Amino acid sequence: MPDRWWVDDDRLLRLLGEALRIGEVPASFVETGKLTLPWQDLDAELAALTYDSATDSTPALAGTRADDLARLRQLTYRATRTGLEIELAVTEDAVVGQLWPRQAGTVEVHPRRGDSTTQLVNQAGGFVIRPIPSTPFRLSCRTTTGVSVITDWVTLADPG
Amino acid sequence: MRDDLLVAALVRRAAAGDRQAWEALVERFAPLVWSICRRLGLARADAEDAGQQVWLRLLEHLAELREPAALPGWLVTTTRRECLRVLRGRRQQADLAYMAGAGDLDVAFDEELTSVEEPLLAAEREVALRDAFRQLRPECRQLLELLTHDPPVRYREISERLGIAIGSIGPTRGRCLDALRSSPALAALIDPGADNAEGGEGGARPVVGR
Repeated sequence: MPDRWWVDDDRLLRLLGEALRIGEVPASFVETGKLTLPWQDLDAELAALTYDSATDSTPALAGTRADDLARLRQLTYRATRTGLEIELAVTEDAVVGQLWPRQAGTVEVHPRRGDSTTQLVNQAGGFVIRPIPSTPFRLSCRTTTGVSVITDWVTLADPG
Repeated sequence: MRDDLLVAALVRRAAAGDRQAWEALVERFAPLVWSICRRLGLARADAEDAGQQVWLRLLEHLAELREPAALPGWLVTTTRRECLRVLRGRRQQADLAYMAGAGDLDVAFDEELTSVEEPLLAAEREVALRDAFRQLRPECRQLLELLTHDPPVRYREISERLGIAIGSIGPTRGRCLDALRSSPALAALIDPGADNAEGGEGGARPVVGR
């Protein structure tokens, strides 16, 4: 016997009140759920931030680099078990990436908001993400040699 | 495809790491998880925390979910557990201000939801009601908002705030509720035999099957 809750005016009004008090499901609630997947991504190893030019000083190098290179924000993520390193350099309009050791594969960009995209990694281990994601993102990387890692959240906003 | 078959297919694909399937599952069940948390009295921020745990548990659980039809029931149980964990954490903080009503849903609900099906139906109903409500004319939205306000707003005040006669609040309320019923969002939930059961305003009830 289906419950015909909509028939009676008083009950319909009461249920409407409930629905409105419970409120719309926030978009962030759904997004968080969707983003749970890469966090747990099965066999992917987490690559943690090991270097960030914005916060880590490199006095030995600072004076020796060409000016334009030194100004670029650079980050390194490393997965210790598989030994894969992902280097990122932020240019004016793109994030230029490099895998160490050099190898081909794919890199998926998972922005906190918006759709994921996939980039090819060339044989020299290089890839480009353009435009620069406007929200924090994670990179999950699969190489042709079967290595699978996912970075921590990458935040490129100017450090405050 | 039948609904439960669709869910079963999504579960299998998501367990194999299919992003789209996982996202579809999250979108589908987010209103259920949200509704349960809010009904248990969690403020919005706490509901988001509890929800995050539920999705993590679900991801861990997917592979061993042999009977995908059991997913809604599992979600109901798991969500309640995670919400109660958040609530316990709150109480341990002995944050009296929070207990005194900073939780923005200190309202007892009329309809007790105890079984597994009820929260599912309730979440489905709430989504439909909110969608239908959004489609109403602004005058109806204002009136129904005041009429469902908690604590209740007196007719005299409603009359003053909306600039309509007290005597016309009742009839307008009826018309607005009829408009709510006949909106496509609600029509999808209302079964075909539902029409003409009560005389009432008549004719406004949609006849839409699934």
